[in-house]
Amino acid sequence: MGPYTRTISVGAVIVFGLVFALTGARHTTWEALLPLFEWMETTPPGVISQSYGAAFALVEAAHLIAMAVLGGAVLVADGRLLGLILRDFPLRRVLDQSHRLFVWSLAAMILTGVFMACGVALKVYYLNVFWYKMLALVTGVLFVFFVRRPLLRGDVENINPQLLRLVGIASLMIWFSVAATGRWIGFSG
Amino acid sequence: MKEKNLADGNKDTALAALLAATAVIVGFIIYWADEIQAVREMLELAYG
Amino acid sequence: MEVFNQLIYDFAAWVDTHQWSTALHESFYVYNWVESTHVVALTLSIGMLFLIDLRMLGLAMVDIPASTLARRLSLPMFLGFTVMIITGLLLFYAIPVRSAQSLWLRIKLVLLFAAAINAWLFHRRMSTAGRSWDTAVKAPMRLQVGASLSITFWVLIVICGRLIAYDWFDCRAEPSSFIAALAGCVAGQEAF
Repeated sequence: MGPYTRTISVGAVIVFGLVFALTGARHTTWEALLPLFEWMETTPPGVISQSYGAAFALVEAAHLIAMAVLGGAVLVADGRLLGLILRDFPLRRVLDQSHRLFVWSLAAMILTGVFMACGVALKVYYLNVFWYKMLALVTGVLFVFFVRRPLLRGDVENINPQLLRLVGIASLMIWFSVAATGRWIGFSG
Repeated sequence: MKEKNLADGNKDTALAALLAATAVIVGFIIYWADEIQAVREMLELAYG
Repeated sequence: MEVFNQLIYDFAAWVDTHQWSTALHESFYVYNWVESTHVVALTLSIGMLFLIDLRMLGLAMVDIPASTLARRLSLPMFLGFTVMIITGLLLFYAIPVRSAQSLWLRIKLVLLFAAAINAWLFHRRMSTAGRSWDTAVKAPMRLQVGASLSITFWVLIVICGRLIAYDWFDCRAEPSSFIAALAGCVAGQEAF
């Protein structure tokens, strides 16, 4: 592997994403996923969600609470990156602590999210905004674990402050998009 | 040799971050500009 | 209790006659935006609060002195709560009668009151507790209790908030007399 493996990989993902978005590959993939979504509605989470509205509501409340914690972790970490909050605390410390919180709350969100998706699988399958959320979520996860964390786990003090700011802004943008498209799903259908 | 590998690795990570962050920001602007435009059109349809 | 409920209903029915109330309720997007802001602002309000509570319990951000974290995150937290209150009032204003007679909203308001008292007590205790425990992983027991209560109250508040949308106990659905009394249903009411 050459010296710029990570950069090349990111470039490849971007190119792949553009090709996927701008060609028929998107539609073909979507059609291929129908059986999966039909199956999801038959799973225990799917059946429970459809039979007991209260169960679905409770899981959704858990999803929101996890969102609050995840949002808090993101705001603190990116706020620190942008020099807006906890300025007199070492960057390293704030980032490491927020990341741990982030990972736990993300896991909780994914678990509750999958549970809910099973309950309304076919409804969301046909919703454009659901797929935008999934795209934003996948982008967010890849960004955090493949780009941001490797960068910030290293020697943060010597990284160009402008790059740190750029990463902070991009991070806020992704997670805002995930939250906003997520909320939008609730208004559709 | 190890220091060079480390330095290159740091450069790689930094460059990857620059590329990814830029792509995200551009994508965000395009997506939300499009959504806002769609909302504007809907409001025009609804309220004239 | 009945007098109380009648007063609330009368007030809500009066708000219902406002032009802006109807406009907000029937708006194409504005109501949805207000509701979305209310939900997403949870990250700012209870997001910050949960970070503080988890710190007191030694479960998160343990490298940062507890009272410092609490003080620093207070501003965004209060900003978040301000947004929650404004959007919450707007949501009520748009659909006043159903909201005023919502069992879940009533429980939520009681819990909000309890959470506020808990927060005030917590703040007072934190001010008098000195700084010796600041760098320790866990805060003193009484503050841990306050933090646990805080988390409990707010989890229940979010659950109640989510359940408002469900119409199981709506007055329109003619619930049992016990529920009807708690929810404030008024016999022969015309507005819902």
